[in-house]
Amino acid sequence: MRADVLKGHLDLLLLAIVEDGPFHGYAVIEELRQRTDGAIDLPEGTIYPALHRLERAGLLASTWSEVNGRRRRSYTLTTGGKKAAREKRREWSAFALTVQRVVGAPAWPTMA
Amino acid sequence: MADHGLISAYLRELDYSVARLPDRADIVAEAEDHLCEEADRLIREGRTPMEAEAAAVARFGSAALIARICVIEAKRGASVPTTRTRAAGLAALLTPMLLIVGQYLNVSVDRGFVHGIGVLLLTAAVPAFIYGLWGLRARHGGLGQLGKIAMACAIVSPFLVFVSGYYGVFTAMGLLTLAVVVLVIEMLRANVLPVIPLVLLAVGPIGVIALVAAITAAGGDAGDVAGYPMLLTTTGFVWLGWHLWSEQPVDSTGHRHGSLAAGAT
Repeated sequence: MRADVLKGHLDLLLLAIVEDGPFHGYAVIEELRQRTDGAIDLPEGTIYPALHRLERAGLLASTWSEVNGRRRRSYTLTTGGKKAAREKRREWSAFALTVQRVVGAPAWPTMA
Repeated sequence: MADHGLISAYLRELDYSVARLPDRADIVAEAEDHLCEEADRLIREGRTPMEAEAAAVARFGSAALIARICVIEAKRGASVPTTRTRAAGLAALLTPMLLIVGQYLNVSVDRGFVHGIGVLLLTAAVPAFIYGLWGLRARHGGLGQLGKIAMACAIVSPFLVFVSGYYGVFTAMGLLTLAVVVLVIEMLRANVLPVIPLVLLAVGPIGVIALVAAITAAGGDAGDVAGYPMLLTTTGFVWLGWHLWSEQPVDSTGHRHGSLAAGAT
């Protein structure tokens, strides 16, 4: 799946994954890869700035720990993030249903 | 895992590419953790350490790309709550008006109710300025620990006026100037808002100190002109206040108000 197709939906995907967290960045990307069967093919490093933005927006909170001598940042959903995830899910369902009604509708009957 | 040099070389390049961003160290630390973990996974799958590092770096994306995305994401208003920063922008816009009207009433009317209103407006300009600064800092994601300390200094500085006469005033102004300059440097590094008004914001107090020092050293009286550089600060602050105020209102859930594009972030 191309990055431009994903544009606009990445926040919901990240919030939905971190909802089951806490997850560190690599685990978030692994989850994304597994849950989509690898269909989403982004440069992995581009996920981090999006996670940072969601944190600045107060939707995620992060904590640092040390694992194998490396600093590791783990993300959890805040109360605002849970609310945003619910809201974005609802909007996505409504949007997907609307699009499905159009693209999944039978073609206009034509005379044979 | 053994380091074969590819990951460390990449991290040095990334560090250089994100050098202007305030959370540079965190970005590099997360990248290091990710790359090492991915390389370990690939080694477990049977790749040689060299191949694993090369593949991990390739999947992560180029340092230039990551740096560009970091800046783009920092500039994105869509999921940054702007409802409160817009109010702070309005406070920044009002600050010079409070100062001008307050000073006019304070000087033109000797005493009484109207004079009191003037003093009240002058006093209100201080929290309005601090709130505007807070909004600018919040719009830049808090600016880390340094931003937090600078903001705390800015909040504390007005109270120092009450400490001991002129010394208190000078200490308060010095601390506020330092706080503003630190915040502006960090905001410039974050690269979110326009550069010119940010520079103007910091130039004013520095200009006042330089002007007073130069005139005093020359044996003159700096009293009449010392405040002129603050016009630059006022211009920058109003400019930035307008920038904050004119952003689309988005609440902490990422929901846009008054827009057909709601939910399309």
